[in-house]
Amino acid sequence: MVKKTSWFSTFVVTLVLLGAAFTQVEAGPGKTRFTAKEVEKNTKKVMSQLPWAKNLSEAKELAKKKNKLVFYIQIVGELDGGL
Amino acid sequence: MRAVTLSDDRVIKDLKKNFVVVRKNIAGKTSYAGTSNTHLPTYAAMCVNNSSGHHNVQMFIMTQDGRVLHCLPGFWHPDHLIAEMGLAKNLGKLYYKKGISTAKRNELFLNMHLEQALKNDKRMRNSSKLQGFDANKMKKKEGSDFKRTEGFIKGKLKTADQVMHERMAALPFIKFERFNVKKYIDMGLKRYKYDYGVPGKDKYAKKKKSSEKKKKSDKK
Repeated sequence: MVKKTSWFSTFVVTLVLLGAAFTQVEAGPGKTRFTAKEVEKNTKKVMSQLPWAKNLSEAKELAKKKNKLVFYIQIVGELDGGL
Repeated sequence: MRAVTLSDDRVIKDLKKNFVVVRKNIAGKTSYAGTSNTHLPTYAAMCVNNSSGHHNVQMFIMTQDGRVLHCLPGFWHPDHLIAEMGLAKNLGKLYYKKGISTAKRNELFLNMHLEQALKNDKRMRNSSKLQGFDANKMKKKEGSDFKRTEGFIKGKLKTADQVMHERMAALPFIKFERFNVKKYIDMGLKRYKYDYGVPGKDKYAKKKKSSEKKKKSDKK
């Protein structure tokens, strides 16, 4: 026996599906979590892949030579240690 | 920052191409340096709202002669840091543009920061809401620029991205030495409560552990 679906429930389901298709979800980036291993790997990546200048004056000199801007991060603790 | 944002491939690519990077440990060196639990690179981490830990991290983007184009206090999601770095690059072009008066340059600096605040989408604003403890402090603070004084949502708090641009707009091409960091990063408590991943303090890990224990005992 094939159960007949009422025209009303089909209409409601279509409306919901259409609504979902045209609604833009604009949530924040969410609380993405990183395991200890990932943090360790990413920390090593930050330290090895970015060419860190020794201090701000050296960074300014290098920026002049390379025609770049200075990105200066001040932080409580060490980037490759305890923060 | 290191686990989420600075290690993002797009951020690394942009930093390497357009910036000279430099870092400084300010622990015990400035009056505004915040405190929190010590977080080692061997601890788990998680994404938090933009500007969280404003007293613990500050990212400055400067010209070659040390004039501040932008300052981002605290943590910023990679998508949003990239957008703000884009603005800073345009401000850098403005600084080095020839045949423009100082007054006009400063006016454009102000406009560009305020326009960026307007352009920030809902996702950015949702991610830039102050955390509960910071919001409570800013609500109680008399005359805080976080409080909306006009419009139909009077009394509600603005998001950190909005306030950041409003504060920057008032400081056109200021020398880093003259930049009042303490005033600029006034976005809540000096002590940042971030327990995630810290052994013995992480509520999330404790919850997970107890639910796993319960599952095991249910199986028995």
